[in-house]
Amino acid sequence: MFLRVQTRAVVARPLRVQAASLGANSGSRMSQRENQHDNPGPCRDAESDVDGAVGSGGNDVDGSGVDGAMLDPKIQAQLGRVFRAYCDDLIHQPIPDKFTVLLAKLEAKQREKK
Amino acid sequence: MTEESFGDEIVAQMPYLRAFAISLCGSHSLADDLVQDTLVKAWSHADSFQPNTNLRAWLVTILRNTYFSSYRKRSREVQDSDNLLAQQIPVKGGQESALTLTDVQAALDKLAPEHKEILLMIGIAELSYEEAAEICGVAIGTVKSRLNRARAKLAEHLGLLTPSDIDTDPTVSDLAARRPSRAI
Repeated sequence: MFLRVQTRAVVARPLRVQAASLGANSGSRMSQRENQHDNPGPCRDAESDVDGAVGSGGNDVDGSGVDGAMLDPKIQAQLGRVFRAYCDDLIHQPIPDKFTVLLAKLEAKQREKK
Repeated sequence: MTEESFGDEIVAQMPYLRAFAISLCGSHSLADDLVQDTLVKAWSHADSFQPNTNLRAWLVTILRNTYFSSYRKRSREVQDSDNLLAQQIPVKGGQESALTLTDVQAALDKLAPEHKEILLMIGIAELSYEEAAEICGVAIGTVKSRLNRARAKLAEHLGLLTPSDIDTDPTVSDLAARRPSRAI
């Protein structure tokens, strides 16, 4: 069941265009995303998409009719900086060698099958 | 897509996948187990991945489902004992500079699971609202609403605001005034 997600995601890249286009004032970021798959490693520009998670206010209503809480712009900005630092730290942590080994094994196993 | 490129593509997603797992689990060791399980499942279901679709969203889907089926309970048990973010690095800028990355993780761990996962899908995995909505099986409006809730609660848990600041009912004009603040 968990493999069903891709059925509607026809355009694979840029990853963030869809999300960015839903937010206010984010259209200018779209072009920055278009070549992100060319970067071998994690690379974030100053206008990180963490903003999309914590940097913007909205008042969207879900099915239950509960409004999303609003934050003061200053608090939003603070939260955006804090959360971005947190995300950047995690994303830039080195990947343990064991995963490289595991992926190589999985790939070799797959090759044997065929 | 060849097997080789599939493997390469997965390697390229590893930083995001592992970061998402660490944040979700609140534990490095558990996160690594979760990522390992995810990679094994991903390879065994490689045929069902549709080329030219978002591999990261596909991997996050597998990881998220594996987490909720097998890891969530363990996650709650190990959070306190596992020194997640050993580095007590102050986060940058302003009066919130006393906050550490550990503080952020602790605040995230207090969020409702359905709020936390959305925040991490958008913030760490950089998925689109549509992708997050599909993975969680909810409407896009629900994703946005949960994001707002998550933001407000996170700010509260980090001490950036008092509980009374939350759950205000802004008028339309308030909204119009606040929208442009997105660019920070």
